[in-house]
Amino acid sequence: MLKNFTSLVIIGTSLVLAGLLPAEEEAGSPGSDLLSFSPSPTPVTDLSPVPAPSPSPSSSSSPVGGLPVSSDFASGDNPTSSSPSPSAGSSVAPSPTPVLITPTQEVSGGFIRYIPDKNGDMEWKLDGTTVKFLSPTCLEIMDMKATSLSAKIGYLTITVGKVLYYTDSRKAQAEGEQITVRRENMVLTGRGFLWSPNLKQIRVFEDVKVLIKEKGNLGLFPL
Amino acid sequence: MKIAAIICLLIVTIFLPPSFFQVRGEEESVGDDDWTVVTCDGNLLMDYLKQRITFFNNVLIKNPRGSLRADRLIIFLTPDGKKVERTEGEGNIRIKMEEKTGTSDKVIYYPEEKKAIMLGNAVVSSGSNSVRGGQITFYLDKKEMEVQDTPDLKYIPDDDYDVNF
Repeated sequence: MLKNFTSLVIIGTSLVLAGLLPAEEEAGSPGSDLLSFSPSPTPVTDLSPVPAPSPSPSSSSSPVGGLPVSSDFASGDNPTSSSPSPSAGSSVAPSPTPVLITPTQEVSGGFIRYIPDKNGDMEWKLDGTTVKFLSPTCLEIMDMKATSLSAKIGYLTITVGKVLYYTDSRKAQAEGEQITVRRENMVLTGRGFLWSPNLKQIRVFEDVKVLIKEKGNLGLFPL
Repeated sequence: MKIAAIICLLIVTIFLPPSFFQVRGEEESVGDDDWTVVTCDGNLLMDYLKQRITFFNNVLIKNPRGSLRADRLIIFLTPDGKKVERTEGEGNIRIKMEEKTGTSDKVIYYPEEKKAIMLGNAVVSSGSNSVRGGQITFYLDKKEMEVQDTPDLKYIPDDDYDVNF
């Protein structure tokens, strides 16, 4: 009798489960498809380019400058404002064509980052208005100003409108952007540059112009 | 008491000379003629560890006293990066300053010693006078010139001389 009851319970549970599963799939299983927009934090964490991704879309991390970074998607939608709840997913119509999602992170409203040298001494102060991950190894920095803090380098500032910084090669590059480099009694302007902090070199590509101002004007050439 | 101190501070600030508020990099007063502009058709490489700046391809240096052209120019800065230690121009050196012109393969200038060396097929001309040599050294403060490896020297004095042999 008891065996029959147990068998009935098992069969009944199986039937219920078999009946419910398709219904849940219709409602949308979170994180099941990486090619479509998903409000679930799971795929975001998997594809996040930053080393310490936020556990949920609404929370924030600070990979640059200690400022809060909001998770964002390439489609331009904010997951916290569009449809964050999986239960609400049933009301959202699925996209007809799958779109590849590239998660990015962005800091806006200004940031400051201090870059140390190999010995741990602060070498550069980097500030800008926004910084955004274009890919796991590429950052886009807007209105960048780098100021040298090292006595070895001396007074040196680099100002550029838009820079791409590659985290793997540790190089900053800007094609066609106006660059201004200031040193003691010297202002350098040009278009397009490549900056390697490791090699401690700056290459300016086009429209190079250097203005040197110094007392007596004997420091450059016997003219 | 505090208000009086603030007023005193304001008065002192107002009557301070403008030179008191000079920004970094402008400690020394520079005149209108104390400028030099360097341009080039190629790119520029600044090595701020070795403190040198290299200009590539058709470099032009201009200041109120003249101009200098070179295929390549390197500016060597002092270790603190504040002053120019020496400059080296290489390839097709052409100098123009007032009536004088000069050409050479290479030119090196030491601003501390106020010495300029033109190397390789160096020619300096002023009107109808010219001097040619493998190396021409200018001592700018002494206004002297030293010529080495001189194949020829052409000098036509301005005044006529009666020469008796």
